[in-house]
Amino acid sequence: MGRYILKRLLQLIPVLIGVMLLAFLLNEIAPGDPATLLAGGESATPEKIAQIRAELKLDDPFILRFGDYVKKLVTEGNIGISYKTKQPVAAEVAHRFPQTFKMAAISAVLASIIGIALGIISAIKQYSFLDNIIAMFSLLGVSMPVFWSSLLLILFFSINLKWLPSSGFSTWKHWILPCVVIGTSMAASIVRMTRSSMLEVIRQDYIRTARAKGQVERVVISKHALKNALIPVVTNIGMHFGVLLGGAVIIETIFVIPGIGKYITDAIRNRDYPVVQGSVLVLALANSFVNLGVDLLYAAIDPRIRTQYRNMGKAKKKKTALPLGGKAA
Amino acid sequence: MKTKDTTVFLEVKNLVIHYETDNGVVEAVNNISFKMNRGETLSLVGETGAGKTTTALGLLNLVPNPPGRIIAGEILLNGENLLKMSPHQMQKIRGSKITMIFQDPMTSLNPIETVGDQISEVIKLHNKVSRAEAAQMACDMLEKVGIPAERYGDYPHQFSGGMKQRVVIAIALACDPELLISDEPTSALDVTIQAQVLDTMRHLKQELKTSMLMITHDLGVVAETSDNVAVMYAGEIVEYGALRQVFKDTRHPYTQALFDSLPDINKNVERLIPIKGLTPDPSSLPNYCSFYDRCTKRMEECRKTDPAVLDVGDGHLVKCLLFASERSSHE
Repeated sequence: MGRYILKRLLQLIPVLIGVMLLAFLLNEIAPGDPATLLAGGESATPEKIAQIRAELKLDDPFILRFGDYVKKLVTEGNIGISYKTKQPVAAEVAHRFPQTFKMAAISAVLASIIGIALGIISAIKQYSFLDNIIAMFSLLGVSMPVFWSSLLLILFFSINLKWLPSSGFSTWKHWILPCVVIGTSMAASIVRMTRSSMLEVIRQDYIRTARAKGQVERVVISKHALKNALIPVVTNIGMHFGVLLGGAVIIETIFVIPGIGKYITDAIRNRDYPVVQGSVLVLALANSFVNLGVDLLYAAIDPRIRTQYRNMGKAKKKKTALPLGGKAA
Repeated sequence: MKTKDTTVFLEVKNLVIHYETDNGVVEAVNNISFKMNRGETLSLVGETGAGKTTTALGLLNLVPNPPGRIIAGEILLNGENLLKMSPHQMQKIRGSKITMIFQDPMTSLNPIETVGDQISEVIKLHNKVSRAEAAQMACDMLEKVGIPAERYGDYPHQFSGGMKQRVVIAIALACDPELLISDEPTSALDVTIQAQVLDTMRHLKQELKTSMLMITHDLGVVAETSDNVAVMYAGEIVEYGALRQVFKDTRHPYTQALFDSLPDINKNVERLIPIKGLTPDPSSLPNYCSFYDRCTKRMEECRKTDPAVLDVGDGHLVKCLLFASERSSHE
């Protein structure tokens, strides 16, 4: 297993290089010029613009700039300096990413607990009144735009009841509304995934075997069915979590939370290329770790996947060993 | 050893099981009755869709519901009606008094639990033993079915089909059941493994003195394993009797047709004799003899009534009008 993890970590290197190249290229072909914006817009003098272009080395060829960026990254661990604020991107990301991570993590945990629980109930009480109610709420959760539900919740809990603050991020109370909004919309999709996955597993022969052993229904569901049904659900949660790490721009904007989503969108608008570049790199890294976590979780749940991972490590050895020792074996 | 305990311990009376679907009611099991003596093996024979598996699941009260429902009847185990029991009482019966070996070993085991845990689970459920004792008993069971105990911690995907079926057998026999139901235990296995698995089952059945309800469509397996045979057609038992009675003194045209459709190595025939036609649609069974459409000995009267079950001698039961006159001569 350690071998597998090492292999996955090594795979990160080409992935990150690819991500950097893509982000660089996108900035390159995107319309607009950061120098013009920094110089004060269309009214700026050509001399001023040229001076800024030279300062930012924007006139250098693409390959040179990319090489320079990678060199700085590797030697200094510098992921870029903002054109606009002249501050290192790393510092700003280090300040903002924890907020986004906190929001994503709380929402994901909340959504998983609610989503899986309701999904199980829905599945074991298929077509019942309860199932219909849950289906209705999950449909509502999936289809309701988050900005709208956020505004409704603010209106109700912050303005009418005055229970919770409407914006900011300093106390735990501030986190309730944004996390509930994200959590419920995520829970809605987890409910549906859990329900369909459970329904499929419950019909399997081994569930009948468990019942034929005289096992009580509660254990049949929790031990035999749920664990088997969890794999697609874990994928779903991991995917959502990855997206959330990219920042929930709308939520961050509504609740005035300095997260990474808002940082990136502002940077794109300002043509602040190093910021986009650096943040995307950090996000790619974070997403890769989430994916690795999900894959390891699969292995923890399913022994068949464990065997597969173990064989992946061995496969290479066998290939090299065959020409020499193939016949002897 | 040979002295047979001939007390009846299982009695099924007028069991009716339906599947209620949106497209109508499927009459899977229609009014079947049979008795089993302690230690005996009864085979339920019939084509696919004859209601054999539904009958077996009915005995465990495990007919998938919805859509399945036990409409009427009694299942008496040692005089107690299983269908009147609470879910909790029934859970105590399942896995300890009545157990089942399922058709497809590939899908009958939980893929993410070790085989050892799956065996010790049933032991822990029905015996007051510690975890370690249960594990030890599970190891013994593995050895009994011919799997080394070291493989306790292995997962089903590390076993072959025949080995998996042995694990399923170990689960079924772990709590020393009174009745073992085996639902086509070998039809998913290849022929060489079939013989081995049947051998293991026969051996353990004798050792544990378990009674067995064998569901199969393989008449060869029936001949090798059974004391009594019940032939099912369209949810009914059309012929019932001791192995000898049914095999040597075949009465019902359907049973006869089943035997005729078997290849005979002593005869040189180009083609086998199939039973013409298909089993009737179980959602619209006729109110006369359900075999009428395919019967080679049908008479005008067969279309008029549903034949009654007749004793043609010494407990040999046949549900066919052909023998109505014969019975009157018996009396």
